[in-house]
Amino acid sequence: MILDQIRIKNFRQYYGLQTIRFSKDKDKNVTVIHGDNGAGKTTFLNALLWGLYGKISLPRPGTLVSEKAEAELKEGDTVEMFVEIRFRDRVRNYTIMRNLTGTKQRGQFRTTQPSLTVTIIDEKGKTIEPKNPQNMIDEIMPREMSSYFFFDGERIDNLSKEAGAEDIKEAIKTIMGLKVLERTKEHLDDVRKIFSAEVKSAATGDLSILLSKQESQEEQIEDLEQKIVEIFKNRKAVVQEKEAIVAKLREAEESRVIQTERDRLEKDLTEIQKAIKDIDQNVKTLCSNQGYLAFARVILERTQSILEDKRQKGEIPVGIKQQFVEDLLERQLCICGIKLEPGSQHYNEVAAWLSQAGTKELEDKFTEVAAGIKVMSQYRIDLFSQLKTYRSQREKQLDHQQSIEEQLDEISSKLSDKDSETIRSLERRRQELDDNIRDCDVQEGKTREAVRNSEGKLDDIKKEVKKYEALEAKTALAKKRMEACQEARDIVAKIHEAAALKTKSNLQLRINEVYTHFLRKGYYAKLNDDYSLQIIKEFGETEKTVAMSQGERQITSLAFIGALVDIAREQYEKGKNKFFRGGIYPIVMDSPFGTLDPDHRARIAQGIPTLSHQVIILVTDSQWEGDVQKQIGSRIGTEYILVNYSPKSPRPSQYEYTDIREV
Amino acid sequence: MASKEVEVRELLQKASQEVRGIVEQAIDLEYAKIHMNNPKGIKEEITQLVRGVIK
Repeated sequence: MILDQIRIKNFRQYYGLQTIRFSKDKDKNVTVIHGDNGAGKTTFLNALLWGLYGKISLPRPGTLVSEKAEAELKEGDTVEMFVEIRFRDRVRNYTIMRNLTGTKQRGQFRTTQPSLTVTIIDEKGKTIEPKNPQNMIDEIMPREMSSYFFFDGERIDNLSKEAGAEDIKEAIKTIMGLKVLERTKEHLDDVRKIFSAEVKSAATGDLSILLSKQESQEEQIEDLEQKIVEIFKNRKAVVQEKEAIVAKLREAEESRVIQTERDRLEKDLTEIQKAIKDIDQNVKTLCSNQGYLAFARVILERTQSILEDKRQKGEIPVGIKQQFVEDLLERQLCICGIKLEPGSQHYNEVAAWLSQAGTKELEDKFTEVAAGIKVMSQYRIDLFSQLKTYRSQREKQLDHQQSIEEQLDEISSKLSDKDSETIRSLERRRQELDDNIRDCDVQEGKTREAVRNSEGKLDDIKKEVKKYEALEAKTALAKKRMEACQEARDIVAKIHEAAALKTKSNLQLRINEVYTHFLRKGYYAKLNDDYSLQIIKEFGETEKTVAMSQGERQITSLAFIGALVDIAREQYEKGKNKFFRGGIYPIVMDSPFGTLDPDHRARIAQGIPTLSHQVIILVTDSQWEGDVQKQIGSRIGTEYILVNYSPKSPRPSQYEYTDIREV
Repeated sequence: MASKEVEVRELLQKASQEVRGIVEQAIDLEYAKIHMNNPKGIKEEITQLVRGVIK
C-alpha cells in the first residue's frame, strides 16, 4: 500500500477542501506535515483512520463536520463532508471515499449516516466497485494492524512496556501470518468434529445380522425347492402305480371295454385342456399386441372428424401447390398473363400465396394419416370380433370338458359297481392314486407359492443389505474425511509452531538491525519469550538489562514497528512463502520526537526514513528545527504546513479552522 | 528451529496429496478472511473443501 493523496473536506477543523499529495519517491520517501500544537496534526491522523475504517479517536467523536462550515449554513442548506484517500496496492489503484452530508433544518443541524465507496482501477484499466468496500479495505490494511502504522508517536512507547507484550504478540501474529495459521488450525478442528458427528449419526445396525438373515432366507428357498423335487418324485411314483393299475384294468376282460372308453375320453380331455390353454394364450397375445385399440375409439373418431372438417373447408389437401407458385415467380409471369416483376404489387400478391400454398409432404402426410385411421378403425372392429370368437370357442371347449368329466365319473362308477372284487379294488386304488396326484399338484402349487414369497422376502433383505452397504460406505467416507482433517490440522499446528519460532528469531534479528540506527553503541534490544521488549547494555563480557526511559521505550517501539514493516516488505517482494505473504505498509507518525532528548531525537530522525517505503511525519516546528531537520531534510519529498485560525490566533477567526498549504 | 522446519517438511511429504491440498486451500480461505473478526461461513467453506477433496 503506497498512499497517493488525501482530500479532506469539512472534516472537523479542516474547513473547505484540503489536499495533500504524499511523496512516493524512493529516495525522498518522507512527507512532512508541520503544525503547531492544536493545528490539526492528530485530527489529520484521525482523518486517515476515519476514511479507512470509519472510526476516530478524538474528543467529541460524534462531531465530524467542520464547526465553521456548519455555522455558515443557512436554514435548509446542506454541507458535504468527506475524506477521500487514493493509494496503490500491488497493481491496482484505489480511491476510498467516505462521506456524509449535514443539513440545517428549523435551526437544528442533522447529518446523514456516513457512506463508503471504493473504486478500483485494475491492471487492465478496468474500473471495479466492490460490493463490500469495508471488507476490501480490511483485506489490504487490517483494522487491527492500523495502530502499528498510523500512530501517535508520543504514545508509541506503550509497545515496549511490559503491558504492551500482548499487543506485540497480536501484531506479530497478524502481520506475520501466524493468526491465519491459528485460525486454520481451529477451524480444521471444528470441521473434524462435524465429520465425527456424521460418523456417530450413521446407522447403528449390524450388517452381519442382515447377511445372516439373507443366508437363512436363501436356505429356506433351497429347502422349498428340494420339497418340490420330492413332491415331483412322489407324484411320478403315484402316476406310475396308477398307470400299472390302469394297464391291469385294460387287460381284465370285465373292464377292458370300459377302460378303453376311459382312455379315449381321457385323451379327448387332455386335448380339450390343451385347446383351452391355447385359446387363453391367444387372448393374451392379442390383448398384448392390439389391446390399445379397445381404448382408441374416441381419439380415432376425433382425428377423423378434424381431418374431415379440414377437407370440407378445402384446407387439406390445398388447391395451390408451393411448387406452382414458385414456378410463376421464377418465370415472372402469372397464369392470367400479367408480368410479375420482382418488387411489383402483382409479384408480392402472388408471392404471398407461398405461405398459404401446401407442400407435397403435407399432402402426403394427410393421406397417410387418413388411411391410417381407417386401417386402425378396422383393426379395432377385428379385435373385438376376434375376442368374441375366442370366448365362444372357450365356452364350447368348457362344455365339452364338463361332458367328458361326467362320462368319466360314470365310467368310474360302473367299474366300482362291478361284481369282481379285483376290478372294484383296482378302481378304488386308481381313485385313491388320482386323489394322491391331485394332492401332489396342490402341494406343489403351495410350495411354489412359498418359494415366490421367500424370494420376495429375500429381495427385500438384499435391498436392505445394499442400503446398509451404501450407508457403511458413507460412514467410511466421513471417517476418512475426519482423519484427513485431523492430519491437516496437525500439519498446520506444526507449520504454526515452526513459523512462530522463525518469526520470533527473524524479528529479534531485525529489531536489532533497525535498533542500531537509533540507539547508542553497546545497547541492543531483546524480544523475550513472552514477546516483551528489553534493552540490554553490554558491560565488557557481561550484559545487563537497562530500565528504559520514555525516550528509549519510544525508540524500542519504533525499532519493533520498523522490523515488522521490513519483514512484511521483504516477504512481499520474495513472494515465495504461501503461508505468509507479507505486504508493503506506509508509516504515519504523529509527533514522534515529542519527549525525546536531543541525542535520541537526532538518532530517531536519522533512522525514520529507513523504516518504510513511505513515511509521513506530523511535527511541530520546535520538534523539527535543528538535528531533526538536518537528518531528514535530504529525504523529504513533499512538505506541508497546517495553518490554524482561531479567535486567539494572529489572524483571528470567529470559528476555529485549519488550511493545509504546500511548502 | 531448523528441526521444526524439517518436521513440517517431513509431515507434508508423508501426507497424501489430498491432505496437502486441504492444508493449502484451508490456509488460502483463511487468508481471504483474516480481516474479519468472526468470519461467517468459513467452517462451511472448509467443510465443503474437505468433502470436495476426499470423495
